[in-house]
Amino acid sequence: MRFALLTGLLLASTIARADTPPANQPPGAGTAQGDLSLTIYTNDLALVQDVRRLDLPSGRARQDFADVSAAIRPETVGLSAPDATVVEQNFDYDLLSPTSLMQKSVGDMITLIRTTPMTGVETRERARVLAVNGGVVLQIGDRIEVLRDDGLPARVVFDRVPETLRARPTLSVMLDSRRAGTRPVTLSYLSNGLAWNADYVALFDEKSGSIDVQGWVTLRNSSGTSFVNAKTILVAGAVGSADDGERGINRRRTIRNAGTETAAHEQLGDFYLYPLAERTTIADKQTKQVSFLDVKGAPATSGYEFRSGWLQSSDQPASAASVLRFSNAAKGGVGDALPAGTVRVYMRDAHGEPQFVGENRIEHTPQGSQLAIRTGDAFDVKVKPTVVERTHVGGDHWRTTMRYTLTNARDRPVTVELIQGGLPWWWTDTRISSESLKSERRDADTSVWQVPVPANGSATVTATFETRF
Amino acid sequence: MIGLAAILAAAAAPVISPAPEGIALTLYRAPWRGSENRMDLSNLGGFALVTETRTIAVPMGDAVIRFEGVADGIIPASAIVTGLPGGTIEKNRDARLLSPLSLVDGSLGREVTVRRIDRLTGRVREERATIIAVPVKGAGGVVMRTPEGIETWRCPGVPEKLVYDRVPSGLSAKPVLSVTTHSQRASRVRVTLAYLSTGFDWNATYVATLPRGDSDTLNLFAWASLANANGQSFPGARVQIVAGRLERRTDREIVAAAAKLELHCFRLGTTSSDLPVIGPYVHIQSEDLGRFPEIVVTGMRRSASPAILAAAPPAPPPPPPLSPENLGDLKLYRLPEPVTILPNAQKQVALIAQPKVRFEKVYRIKLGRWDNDQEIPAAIILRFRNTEQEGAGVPLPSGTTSLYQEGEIGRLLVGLGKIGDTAKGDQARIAAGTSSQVSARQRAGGADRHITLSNANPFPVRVEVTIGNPGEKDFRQTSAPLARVDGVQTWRVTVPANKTVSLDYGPPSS
Repeated sequence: MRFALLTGLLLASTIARADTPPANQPPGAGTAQGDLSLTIYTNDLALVQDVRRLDLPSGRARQDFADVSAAIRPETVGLSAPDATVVEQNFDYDLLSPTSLMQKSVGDMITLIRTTPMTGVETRERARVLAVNGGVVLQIGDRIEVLRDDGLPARVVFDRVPETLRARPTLSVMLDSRRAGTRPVTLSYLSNGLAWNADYVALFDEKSGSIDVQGWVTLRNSSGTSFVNAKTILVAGAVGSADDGERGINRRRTIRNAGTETAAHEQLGDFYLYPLAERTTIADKQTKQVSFLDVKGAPATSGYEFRSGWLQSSDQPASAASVLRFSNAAKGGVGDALPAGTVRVYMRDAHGEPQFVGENRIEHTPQGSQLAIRTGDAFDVKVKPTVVERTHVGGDHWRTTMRYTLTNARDRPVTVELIQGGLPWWWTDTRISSESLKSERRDADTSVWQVPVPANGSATVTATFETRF
Repeated sequence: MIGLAAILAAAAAPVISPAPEGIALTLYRAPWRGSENRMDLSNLGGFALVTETRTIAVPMGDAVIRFEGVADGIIPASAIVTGLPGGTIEKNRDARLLSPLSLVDGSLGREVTVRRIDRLTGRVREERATIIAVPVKGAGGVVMRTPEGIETWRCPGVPEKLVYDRVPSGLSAKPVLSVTTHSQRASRVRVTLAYLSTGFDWNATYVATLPRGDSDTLNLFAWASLANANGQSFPGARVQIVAGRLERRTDREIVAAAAKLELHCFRLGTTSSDLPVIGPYVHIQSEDLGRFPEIVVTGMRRSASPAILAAAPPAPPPPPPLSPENLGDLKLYRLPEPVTILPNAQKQVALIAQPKVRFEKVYRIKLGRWDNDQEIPAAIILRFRNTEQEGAGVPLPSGTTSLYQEGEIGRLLVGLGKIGDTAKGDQARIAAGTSSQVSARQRAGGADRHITLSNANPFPVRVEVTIGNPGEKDFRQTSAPLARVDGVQTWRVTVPANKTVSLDYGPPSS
């Protein structure tokens, strides 16, 4: 196992300065953001900590915080400043627009600039805004007029912008400072619009039975705000509680056996932390990927799976699913916990070029787990389930004989995991009275056979079920 | 903690790789499109693996390399860059697009020029203004500070335009894919950029032709239709297509669509207007930028579209078919020579050509015990085992089939159907229409049933009647033996020319 988090720049980072914009920052992006730390969760949530150096006067003063996330959850804002207390926090979203400007000007004087048709002469008049209800009613001298009643364009010039109107939603805090002077002020809040997941590139070599896995952290910023030069920690875990029926808490279908190993990562409670090795700028509408895993030659096998529903019978065979199986144990596996994400599987074609063969999602997977990833349907491996005989034995007792015909058009033998699902699980006396191959009862409603199918050949499994349905 | 090299790179312009030198495209079928469905050219559901080779002059130290000319449908999270001597430190995809809205939005707090033209005299007057408010989430308008005071742009109805000094930083015409790398020394390197892209699809279209007269073989030919809905052209691309269904998951992407610039003015009702009726807003909308243009199909030799089938010209000598190779559990077909795939275009290549496939013609009727007193027409199918002995024996990717009969009056369409992914050795079926000449009628007599099969053709036909459900107990007192096919009791019988035959059967034994 090799764990590489941005090793490339670690050497260079010894001669570092915290306040210099990084390489990928859009030039000229002036920002009011200070020393930023982002903790990003996988479920569209981030904790933003922003340490700004502010010159606070003594006594009460209002501080506006520009360049906070546009997707801020204002009720989560916390602020701390040395030798100062917070009197009140406001999140103002009374936005400056032509409408709000006109509405706030009721009673005030404005200037109208009109161009006389035909002559092109500009005239200026002062007017008082009497009302803005559906239209603008003005008093000009001793006349009362409605703006643009004549349909002619008129420039409206306001004297000033009302203080309460803002260009963007703005966080403002009233601070009571015991002394005047510059000091670091820590602003923290939760924001939506930032999320991450993992993306894996798995190159599978069928001959040697091994995979090379690269893991990438994929960060997405759709918050509407760029975060400049931020120290970033990614948390692999959902902070919503599974007890609350929080959405996005998925059952882990790709894990066959949950692992019990602890990965070599910093942990925060039950969550693994993936800190990025250097500060980075996450621009708005940006998707950013950073490598976090690069493993060569972990053992992997391909297999087949076919699930038949109860009493499923068909006259045409259906493809079995191709399944890629590997472990993320330290021994004989990828050797790391795997954050949730998409695994894209590639294989080399006859010319040695990697080709895409399917993808699937995995959930947060603890180290030491067995994974089974369905990549698609097998063209050459098929199963045809047939209900051969179904007899009403008496009462609620039924006897069902199933025949499964498995075919393999590949030039090598394969083993298909044949699953008969949907057995009537609410009766515990469901049983298989005879079968041509030993099955494993995985649970009350599932029986599983491991069926070897010869190269370019076929195999048949028959089984008789005694059920109450 | 920023590397010194990074600071230097910040000053240097990114290295731009304008276009690939070599392209390989592997097309995949839409995973959820049924085999009976044709491609939806206005919304292609398949995808492609695009593998590009590019030569890049990599400078020493940290550098940002911008890849231009990638497919519109790129799934950025799938991008893989190999061949950079210093590896990939970070991959970025920026989707802030230059548009009328982003231009005004990015100019908040900056100076612009307001230009007004006197309609009468043509006199141009300009003044500088600072933008102090822009539309937020589709509401509001532009407020600016001019030498006159605070003004609202184009509100109410003033003809004036904004002239910007520069494009705000971070905006681009198309989403930009870039990587940061760190090299020990400057060098020219050949890198490979591979990514998945949406906006592609392909489909197999089978054309089966029955020769003139009575024959037990047919000519099976298939086109592979390749479609590209991306705005990019892929000249001289090495093209592969992959048959089989792959798992795909939806990608959470940042949508790069440019929003419209909408300006909302204050209410402008007048004394002569009925206020609630007259629209309260002045809307000024920029062009709708996100629309997909219609796809134009060019260069089709022959369409498999059912609408014009009767008029289809005789088949040209088909080009040589492709031979499949195994790619894991999928089948990969390699086009023999590089081709150019144009934007919004469909291309057809010969996929399969099996001139003499031995088939069996069967009339099939499906009956339940309760389908009484109705004339049930037979479906005609041509059935063959997909083996070399039968003249086939190649993988048949799923697609639509059309069956033609060569005859006295030319080549006529006689059947339309579908074929699923069919491996070597599987049984394949080609639909040959529904017969109005061969039909079955079942009559009930208590628990007993009587089936009459009639054939109005001047030739005998082989009919298979499937009765009941799979696994059902044997029917009592059948007047002819029934076979069990796939668990279903099946009456196989040959009906002589212009004759009827019948079957009696009782209820299932218990």
